[in-house]
Amino acid sequence: MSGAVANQVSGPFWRAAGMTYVAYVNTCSSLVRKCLKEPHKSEAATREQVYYKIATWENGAPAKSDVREILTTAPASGTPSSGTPSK
Amino acid sequence: MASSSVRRGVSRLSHLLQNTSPLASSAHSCSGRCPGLSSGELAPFGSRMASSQIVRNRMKSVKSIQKITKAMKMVAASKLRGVQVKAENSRGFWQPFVALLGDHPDIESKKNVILTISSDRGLCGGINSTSVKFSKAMFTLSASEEPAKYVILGEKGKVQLQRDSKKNIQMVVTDIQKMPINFTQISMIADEILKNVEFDTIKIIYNKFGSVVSFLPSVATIPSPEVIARESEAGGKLEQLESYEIEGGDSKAEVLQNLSEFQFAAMLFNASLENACSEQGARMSAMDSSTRNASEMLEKLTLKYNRSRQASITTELIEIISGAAALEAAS
Repeated sequence: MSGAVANQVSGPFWRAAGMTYVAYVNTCSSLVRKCLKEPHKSEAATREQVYYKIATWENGAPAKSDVREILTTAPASGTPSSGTPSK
Repeated sequence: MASSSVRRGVSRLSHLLQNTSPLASSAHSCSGRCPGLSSGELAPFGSRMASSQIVRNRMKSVKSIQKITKAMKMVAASKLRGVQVKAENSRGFWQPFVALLGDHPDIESKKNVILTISSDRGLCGGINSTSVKFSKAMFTLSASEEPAKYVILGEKGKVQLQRDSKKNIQMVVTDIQKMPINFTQISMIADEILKNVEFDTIKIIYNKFGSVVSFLPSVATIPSPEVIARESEAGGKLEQLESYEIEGGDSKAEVLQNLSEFQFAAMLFNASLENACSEQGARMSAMDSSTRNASEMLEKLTLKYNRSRQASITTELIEIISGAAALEAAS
């Protein structure tokens, strides 16, 4: 794939975009799930449901908290578009 | 008689006590009409069954608690069945990594991160306190220049660790079991940890599921790619990794980085499933024993209740008989 071409420059393209390998795997697998046909498609969609609460702590107190939620129909992306905590 | 002061008290309350006999003895008249009476000595006049009423209420509450614990046990059992299959299947996820890299909990590194996995809900025996205890032990063991950091999954671990290790908590993730645990979700969490937490090694502490009654607190060590590279050089702990040949355009550093990141996600997936499994198992056995305790208690209370009832009946009979005998003797 095109990854091999991009490889020669500076690592794979998704790494250059700041993705981790798990995020890349997630994106790829959600694409594969989208290609499925019907009875399997909705079954696979249940494996994409995401819900959790995350809080970063600083100096012994919660600094920032966020709810991450992906519904069944929305495509799963490794990094949620809204409210990604800064580095 | 010495009841003149009591009489005064009675007359003051006479509007409440109109039907009460003025001959009521002193102890009775004061507490005569108190509805929520609890002391056995000051029973209301004409009622010998006050204490048995209390026992009956107690029995009722124990019975309903028993019903609740029984239902919770059933729920835990049915949840366990689903999650157990998943946990057992997910073991195949990390086993190849151990075959390839081995397991090195004693690997040396500067920045240690301790990932404590706990449950969100209580009433599940000791699994949360064991994983917190192990995390604290790991914290003291891995003392290097800078103290280790905690990343906590689950509400109960957070509650226990923030009591004395507040300063070292870096991230808390809760409510992961609202939806059934799946790899998409866990890898999103892993992604966030990889991006926001600096580490040389991550130590995942979780309860590995053995059976419904046995779970083993375990540690999984995830070294960062740099540590893997360092240890795989001659003489390190991952020496055998050098004997593998890497195909394709990727360099070794890249492969190691991808490998380490995926290992982390896979291990976290398995660990959280195993922990969820242990949680349900522990809850099942805890609820089972509390149901048993409740029925034991109920048995004791029933015995007590029946005995006291029998005793009061006997007393009444004796009074009647002796009264009749006295009347006969008088006539």
